[in-house]
Amino acid sequence: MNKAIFKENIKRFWPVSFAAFIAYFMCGPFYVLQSRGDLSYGALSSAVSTGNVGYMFVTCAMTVVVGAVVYSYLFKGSSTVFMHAAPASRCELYITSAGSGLALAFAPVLANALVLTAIKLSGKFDGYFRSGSEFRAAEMWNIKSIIGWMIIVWIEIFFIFAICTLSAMISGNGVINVLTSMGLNLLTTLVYLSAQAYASTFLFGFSDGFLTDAMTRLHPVLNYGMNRVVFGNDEMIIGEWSVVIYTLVALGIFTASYWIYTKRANEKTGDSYVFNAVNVMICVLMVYMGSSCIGFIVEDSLRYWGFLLGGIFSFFVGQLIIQKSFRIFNRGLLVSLAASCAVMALVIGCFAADIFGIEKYVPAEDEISFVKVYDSEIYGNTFEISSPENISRVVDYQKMIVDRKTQITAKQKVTAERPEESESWGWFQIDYYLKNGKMVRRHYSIPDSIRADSLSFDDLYSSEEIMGVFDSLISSEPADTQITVFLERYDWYGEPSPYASEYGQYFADKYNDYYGMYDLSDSEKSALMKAFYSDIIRLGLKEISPYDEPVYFNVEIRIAHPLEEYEELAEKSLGSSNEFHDFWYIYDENGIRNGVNEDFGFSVIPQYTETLQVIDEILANHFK
Amino acid sequence: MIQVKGLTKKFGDYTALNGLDLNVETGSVYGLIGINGSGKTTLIKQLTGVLKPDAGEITFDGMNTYDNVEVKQRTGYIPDELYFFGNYSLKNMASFYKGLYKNWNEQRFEEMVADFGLSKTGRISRFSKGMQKQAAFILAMSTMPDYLILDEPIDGLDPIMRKKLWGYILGDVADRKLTVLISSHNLRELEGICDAVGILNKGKIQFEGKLDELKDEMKDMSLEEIFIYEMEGGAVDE
Repeated sequence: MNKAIFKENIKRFWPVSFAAFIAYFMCGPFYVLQSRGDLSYGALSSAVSTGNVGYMFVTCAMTVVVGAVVYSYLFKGSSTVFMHAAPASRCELYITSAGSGLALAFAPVLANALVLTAIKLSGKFDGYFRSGSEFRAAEMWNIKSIIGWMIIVWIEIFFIFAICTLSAMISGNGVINVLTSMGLNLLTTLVYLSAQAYASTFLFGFSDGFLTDAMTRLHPVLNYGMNRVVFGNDEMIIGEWSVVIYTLVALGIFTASYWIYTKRANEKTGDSYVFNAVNVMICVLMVYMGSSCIGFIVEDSLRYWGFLLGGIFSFFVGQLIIQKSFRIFNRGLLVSLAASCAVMALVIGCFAADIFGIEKYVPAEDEISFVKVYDSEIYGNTFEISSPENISRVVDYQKMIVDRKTQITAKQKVTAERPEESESWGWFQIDYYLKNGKMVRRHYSIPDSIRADSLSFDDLYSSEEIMGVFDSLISSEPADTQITVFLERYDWYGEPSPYASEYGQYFADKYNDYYGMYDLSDSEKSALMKAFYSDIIRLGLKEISPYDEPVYFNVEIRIAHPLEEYEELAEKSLGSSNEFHDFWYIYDENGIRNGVNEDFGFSVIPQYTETLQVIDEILANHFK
Repeated sequence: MIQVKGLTKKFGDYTALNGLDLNVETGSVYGLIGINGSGKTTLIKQLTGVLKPDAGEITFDGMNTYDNVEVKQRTGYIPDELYFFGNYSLKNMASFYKGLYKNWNEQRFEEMVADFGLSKTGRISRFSKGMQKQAAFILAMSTMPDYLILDEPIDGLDPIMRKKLWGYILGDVADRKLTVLISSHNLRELEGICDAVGILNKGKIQFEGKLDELKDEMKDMSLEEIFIYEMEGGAVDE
């Protein structure tokens, strides 16, 4: 490391660090301070969260800018001459530039961490959260969490800066360097998005679960941002191995960049790229991206034309940028264009021909640990299945769908072209969780006629494993149960509902305009839950909430359970207001977990004969 | 001593230097002359370690120059296109040079700044082209180099400044055995200063020799006339 050059870089470029520190401060500590001691979970968690969008943006932007400025001497003839004539070897120049860049980028993160520490040590943010969180403030907002956040952001910077260094070594001017830095950092994300688009378009049943998991891991900002690491609770610390791997990969990129630097010809300063091979690579990438963008924007019937014309257009735009001239047309260029188009044709061909057999792939039953099923036609929508019989039924159902692909796609065409002749459709998603830790997802849109043909489908939803979720209705104590009945005449805010039904009007006229939570006796609760259970078992999952039946009541049933026995179920909670059967943690006035609620939500239709009878009797008693 | 043997440098299909040989004696001033585009700046950039030769060898007192920090410590260089850090003053640049060069002489720097009448605190970017050249010269000379490489340094300087500049250079040549290689189109000026000249043409040193001997041989011809004679196909015996 050359001390004089290092010191000079810090002296010249410190404003970048300072601006980044201000931005970090505004995204985190400022948000906390303006809460004025009101313990808001949102403010405190985001200040030490890797998913804080402001932090993510500052980290990426600052690191790219730092990379641009510390390596700026490579992009101008006079500065290249000055620095390479100075008494410093290439190795020293490289290490000093990289070292000063990292110091400039790390410093604002450290400064922000010190500010967070000072706020923490003030003692004003140690109490309990106002509401609705899993932790007390002191558990989450502590020195450990601040240091953890800082280290993760440093890892992100290290990785981004490594890519910026690589970009600087291959670029010949400043503008190309910045564009290449951004492009290479976004490369894995763009490749993922395009691969997802190709797969979704060409592969029957493909859905993006595995690809999302795989591709987000290729960049730490994406990985840690989407996983939203909040430190303080050991259960939420992400795998330490990811930190090691990103560091090693970044070190590898730095090493490769140094090797490239030793081969870099200073006489090429000012050109777009210093190495001819890079020109070719960038061209191919631009053709891929441009072809993909245009191909997926245009309508289906013009898709292949979109791919072709998008590729040609982006090729020529790329050449204009790289050569910085409109005089780009020559015979050699046509050869490059043909080669780039051939690469694109190969990519599209691979997806269209399904060379990896993704469409037909169905995991072997002995490879499967458990399955999550999402079905638009079924009450509750989501189920987790682990019994071998049901896993076998799901596998059979998927095989049936795959075998009837031709029939399904033909019906899709009819629906698109002649909607008046189409039948109704639902969707069905399977997430196979395999024993090797991987997840395979398939998502199908299925017409009712094909669904109705499947015996596996019926057997699955009438199985003990699935229907067993309703056992709580008859096994729970009434004292632990809270029931809320909403007349389907009003919406959740008490306003007149557009879905009011005649039968609902009957109840409204007979008893009152509004029904809420009554102080039902234990015997009334018990009778109501037994009636529900009886109706549900009789109707089955397919019939208890069809879309085309009028709804008379919405009923919420909440059953309290002890924490120890139900904690595992609460951890699996989807936390979605659309989920009609779910588990939620209960907190005491100090914000400490002390139980689990099991919630059921039902839309009571005319077929709930026993339930309607019991409700009528209960309401009659209450309105005597 | 500066020695160059078989130096070759290509830019794509174009060969800028083709097996070039050159010798500069220690404590002498060597004038490198050639027509526009003959490769003078390319040669100089390789002497100073900015460009890497494709073939051949460049040594300063037996030490290879490319990526050699010790050689660069002892080399002062004024390129044709000057560079200073943005918004820096002469004082800021001197502070940088002081950290970079082991032999930095602060006293000489102060004396030369006073002598040339430049502002130490004003931004160099606001100096005229001539003043920037003076600033570059002061900085280079204050590193107390053993080798001084100058690429067309006297363009834009007024006669008084040029005289001062040569005064410092020749003083160091005499006192410290400074070895100087200078490229210039001002052949009249070189004629009065150089100990030896090299004429660069088509990627090679077409002629190289002591100036006194050259002038003895080519009686009544100025250096400029000798150069034109050489370029037009006449050959001077070395």
